Amino acid sequence: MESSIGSELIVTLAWRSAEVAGFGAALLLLTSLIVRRYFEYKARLHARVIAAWRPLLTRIAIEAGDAPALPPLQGRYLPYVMEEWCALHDAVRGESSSRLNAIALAPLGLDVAARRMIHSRRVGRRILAIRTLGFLRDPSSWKPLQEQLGAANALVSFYAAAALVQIDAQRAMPGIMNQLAERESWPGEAMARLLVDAGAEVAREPIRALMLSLAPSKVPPLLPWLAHVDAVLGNEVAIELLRRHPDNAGIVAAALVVVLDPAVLPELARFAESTDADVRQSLAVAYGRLGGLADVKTVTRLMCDRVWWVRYRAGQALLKLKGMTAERLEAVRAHLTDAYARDMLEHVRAEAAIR
Amino acid sequence: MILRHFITVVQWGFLGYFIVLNAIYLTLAFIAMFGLRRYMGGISAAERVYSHLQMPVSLVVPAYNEAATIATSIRALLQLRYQHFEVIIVNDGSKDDTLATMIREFELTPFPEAYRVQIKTKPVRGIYRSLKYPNLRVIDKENGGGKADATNAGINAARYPIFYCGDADSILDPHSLEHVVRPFLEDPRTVACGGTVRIINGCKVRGGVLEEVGLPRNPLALVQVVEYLRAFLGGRLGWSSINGMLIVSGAFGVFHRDTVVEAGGFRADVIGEDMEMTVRLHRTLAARGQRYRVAFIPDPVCWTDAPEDVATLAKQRKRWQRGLAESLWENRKLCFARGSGAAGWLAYPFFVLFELLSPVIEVGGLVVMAIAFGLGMMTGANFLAFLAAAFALGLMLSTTSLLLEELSFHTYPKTRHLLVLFVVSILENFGYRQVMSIWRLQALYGWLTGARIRWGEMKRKATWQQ
Repeated sequence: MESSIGSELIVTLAWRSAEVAGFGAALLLLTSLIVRRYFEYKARLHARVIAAWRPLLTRIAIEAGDAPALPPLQGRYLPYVMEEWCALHDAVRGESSSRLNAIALAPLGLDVAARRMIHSRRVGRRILAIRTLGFLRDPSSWKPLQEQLGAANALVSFYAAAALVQIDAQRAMPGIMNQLAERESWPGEAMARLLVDAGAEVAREPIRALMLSLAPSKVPPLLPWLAHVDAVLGNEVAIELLRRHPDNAGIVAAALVVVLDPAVLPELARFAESTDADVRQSLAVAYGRLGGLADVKTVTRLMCDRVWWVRYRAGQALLKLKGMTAERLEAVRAHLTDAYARDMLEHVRAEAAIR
Repeated sequence: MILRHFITVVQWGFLGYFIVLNAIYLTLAFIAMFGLRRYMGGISAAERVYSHLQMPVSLVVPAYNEAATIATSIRALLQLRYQHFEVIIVNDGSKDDTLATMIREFELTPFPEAYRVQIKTKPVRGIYRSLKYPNLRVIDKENGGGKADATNAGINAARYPIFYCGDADSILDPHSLEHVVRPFLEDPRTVACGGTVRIINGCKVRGGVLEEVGLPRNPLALVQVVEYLRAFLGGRLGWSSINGMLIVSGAFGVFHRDTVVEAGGFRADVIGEDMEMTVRLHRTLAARGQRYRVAFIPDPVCWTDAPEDVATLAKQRKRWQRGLAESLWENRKLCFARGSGAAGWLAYPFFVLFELLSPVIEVGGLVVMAIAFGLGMMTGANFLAFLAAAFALGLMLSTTSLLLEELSFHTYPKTRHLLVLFVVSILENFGYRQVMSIWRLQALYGWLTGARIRWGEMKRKATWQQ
């Protein structure tokens, strides 16, 4: 029977679509199978590297004396050996690190390979190359690593910073501080660890200069992390920032968490009137850390706050105030007229009792 | 004559629809492929940097009449490899021994918590805290308002800036929280993040932990494995690359707490509260001119039980379709809204045309062509050509998802698994997809006519549980 629609074109198109899609599906299945084989092959390679190279590299790292003879390193094994070498480097220091570096250069040629790999379009490869060059601590790698410091990818840039610190922390500081000022994508805690690795004595002054010159909007996310690098420096910078920017809620909230000097508490009490809940919450935290019985009045006022978190932190602070005893706490409770504050006191006491 | 013209138009429409639909999905799959490649390339390096960064997370898990499984589910949650998290179980007025079981198993004690009501819910009857696990609390509330209301009660009690909400009967990967907080750490504008949900039927689970991945023997569950692969690895990953993802799955979603509270919490009066929340976040944040991101991670973070009988599957799919309709309708202002980006200009119209209305077009097209064939206005060979085109395009899409799976996590360990999934991708075209379209059409009709829909009891066999 002939089609009575009179539109053979659409039917032809339907058949062609079916053929193309069917062929496409078969091709995709084939590709999937090939991809699966390829990954299986890579997994086997990896397993072979671990079996052959891990014991050798570990022996080199832990045993002083002549390095064992190394088998020739085939190109296809190189990234895996490099991974193993970096993983071991993560775990060792001093002599072991130097021994690993010695075999990386001449017999293995990891330095040459890493310098080539640093330009790879694959992020994983680039990071592996950067880590290798960092562990090698070779000043001649400075330029390519500095180029990577400005990379758009935050991880690449971060690893480049870490590598530069490994080579020469002092020299790396200006570039790292520039990056801290410009980018917001570096993970704060990891960045703090990096600066700790660089050494507080090296990082201290650049951090102080950076924090006091940064645009106010960039200070709050950085301040708590930088205080991790050097708590005393964090305290000094925080007090300075509180005096310079008393009306910037973001800076005040961040600085209050970092302040360590109880002497400044009277100066801080005015922030209990802040319209920003984060500021009041941070103030409550500061009282918990630094406050004494003289601060009971301010803390109990914060316990009547309309924001739960402020009440909660103030409740915790009340329990932590220096000189606070169960009897004094009972006396405070007896004078609390605000139902929310009383509830919160019950809450934090129950919580403390469970802990 | 008019009928002939009508049938010609239907034919063109039917074919055009399938070609455009699959072209869009393939484009999304290719976008996903590049996103996946980038993601996989940096994954180990990212893990190294972010492994110490653990944003605290509140896990909010509603439970209703789950006395038999609740202890295992909670133990599995407490075993997650993460430093800083709290578990908040919301007992939604269970009629069985759910609460008593939790009190017994976890040494719960009543706790005078200063509970704050930021989102209105049904009354909370009591709050308990575990003496064994300091990070476990239980909110006991009156029943009503479904999972949305229970989740809202959990959000009220949540302490941390981001919260996970999921089902008590889902199995989480031990590293799921490490993966899912990364978008929040990398980009502070992230307000929600979804993850890939997989089917647990056929896998081996012991003590709430996945031990071995396998494929289900039940044919319905097997087809759902392919469906989930297609939906998560192709669709959602592609949409998320352009910030156009409209669904963060109710089985696994992590949200920024304050943003959800500002948006009013989950709506108890809609069926698909997970999708409604995601679309509402897009709508409200875009209207406010706020820069935000709804992220998705391709890692298989959550394993869920798929229905193995027709009745339960039908209920589930009707609910999903109804939820889709409600979410899109309630947030219709997102469509072509200024500043709504890919969500309002691409994803929303796409979801209306190719997800919401697809059962109308698919069933309608098939019915019209069957009639034309019956009336002798179309040859059997031609009818077959249209079916073949629709099937083959669908098959190509499913196979793309299989390729994406191979390029990323190759979760299914044996080559036989891959081949079985390919065969299932072919077989699902013979009946399964058509039945799905009919159920979805029924749900759409029910929504338009205002018919009431109930959640109903989900029959879960949980044969994988040991």
